[in-house]
Amino acid sequence: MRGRFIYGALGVVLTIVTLVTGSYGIHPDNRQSYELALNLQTQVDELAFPKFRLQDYPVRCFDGTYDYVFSSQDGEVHMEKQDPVLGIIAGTAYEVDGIYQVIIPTIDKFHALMSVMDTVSGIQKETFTFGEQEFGKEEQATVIWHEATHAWQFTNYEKQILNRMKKGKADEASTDLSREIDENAKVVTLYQQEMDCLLQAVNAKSIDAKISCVLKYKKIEEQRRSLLSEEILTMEEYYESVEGIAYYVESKVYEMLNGRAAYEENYLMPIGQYSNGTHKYYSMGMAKCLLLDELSKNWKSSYDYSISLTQLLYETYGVDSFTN
Amino acid sequence: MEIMMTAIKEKLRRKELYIIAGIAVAVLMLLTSDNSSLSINGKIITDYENVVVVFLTVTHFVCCVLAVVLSVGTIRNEYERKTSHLVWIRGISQLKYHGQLACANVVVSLGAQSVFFLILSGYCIKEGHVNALLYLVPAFFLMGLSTSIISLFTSVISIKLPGFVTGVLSAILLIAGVFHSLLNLLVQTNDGIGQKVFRFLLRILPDLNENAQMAAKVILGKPISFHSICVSVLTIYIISWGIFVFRRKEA
Repeated sequence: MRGRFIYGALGVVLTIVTLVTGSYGIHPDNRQSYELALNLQTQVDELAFPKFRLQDYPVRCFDGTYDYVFSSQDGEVHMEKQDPVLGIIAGTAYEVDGIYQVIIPTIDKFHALMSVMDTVSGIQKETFTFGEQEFGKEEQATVIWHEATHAWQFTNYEKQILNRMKKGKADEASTDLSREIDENAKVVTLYQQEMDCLLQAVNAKSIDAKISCVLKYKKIEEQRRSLLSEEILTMEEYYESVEGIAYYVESKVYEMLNGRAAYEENYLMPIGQYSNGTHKYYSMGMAKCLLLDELSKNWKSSYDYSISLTQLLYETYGVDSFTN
Repeated sequence: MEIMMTAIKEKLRRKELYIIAGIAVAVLMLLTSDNSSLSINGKIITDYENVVVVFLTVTHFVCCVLAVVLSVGTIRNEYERKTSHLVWIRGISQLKYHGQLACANVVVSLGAQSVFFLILSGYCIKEGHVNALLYLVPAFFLMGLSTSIISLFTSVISIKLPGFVTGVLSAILLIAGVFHSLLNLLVQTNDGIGQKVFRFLLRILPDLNENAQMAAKVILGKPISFHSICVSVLTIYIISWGIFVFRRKEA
């Protein structure tokens, strides 16, 4: 009996030590990444998106159990623990109590997710690959700005964007994309040519050279359009405008934090690389934003998502009246 | 102690331990060969740090499986062979009997794990990292927490449950524990009715992968979490209460 009593007491001690040594709540890095993102507001203002302020969109970090909601008022950062809105690991903008809020996983969840995705991608390529993606405060800050861009887009242009989503049936995207695009060798070849044109245009030194690349791009794009259904084309335009612009903001924030060389390696060079799925539209949309910036950053004040980013590019560069 | 030593000697006479040594050598040779298709961040792994990490990951999984294999039949076989009667007539309690058999299972499982660590220590010496040998000892005990959890759990539930059911439940604990992080991510990236159930299960089942990661961190000189060690020790403690609680009618 005495033995059981001592064994029981050992258990109590073990339990207390375990509870005391545990860390609770969210890791401070998540708050610091939000503060880092907030501090970039002045530089993001130079991108000239009208009335785009990060502090207008609370950021919810989901740790697997709770949402830790970061907000900023009068220069002070507040954090509140709440029940999760979505309850799943996702990076998105979501309407909560009438306001679009940013929802992202915590840094360690994001890191784990990216490592797993990298390993799975490696297995699909028939190599056993372990991913060791770097993901810290700075990377989280870029994600915050990407999702905040979506929050800003849906706050100001919800009707136009939803209209385009419905026409393109974005929720059925993945199956149709695979069938009509990624598995169609001719379409893939034309895409690759378009992406090469965009990369050349971005890297070109003179406006005339850029116009020439955009014109070449238009000719190839028209060939590709003839091979795809109207729904797919509308869906592509949706991804390019919505995700492309968010990716453009993300890339600029990345450049602010990591410098030009890293930005070129991670965002500019991949413009010319075809990938299955929707990610290619992110790059292509970003490239078009960069080309629009070359002529005037003010395009962001007037663009309301009622036309595609491609159409805006053609109009701005004056090539919309040229046909193949 | 006599019951425990007899059970250990009996297991050493069986062939599983020698097959383990063969697996350990084969795994290490595979990892360090030029034909290896294992890579980290696109680099084929043949360098020391990455080989250690991958070897420990594989060791962890294999040792947990072996812990189930070595522990699943011990107590059940004693009753089937009626060896238990020799224990009751000597006035030895069920608690002591089952406890020593369970300890024997844990010791043998750790012994199997030590074979892998011996092979790894040979590799460290070959690569010129002799100072890493010091860290192999704490790494062994950290990984041993997982092996002990699996072995003890299997032993405890085998007191009451038939062999097949014991094996299945132990396999579930093993898979949930070794792939805890991955399963957690999968559950948290999907929605649905099952999500809440799986999330609850993953919360109560131990994260065994954490022990393997800590073992790797110790060898590579990185900091580890004392809290994670406490969680594993507490898990072993809680499972051990099964020896007090579960009884067999035959006694």
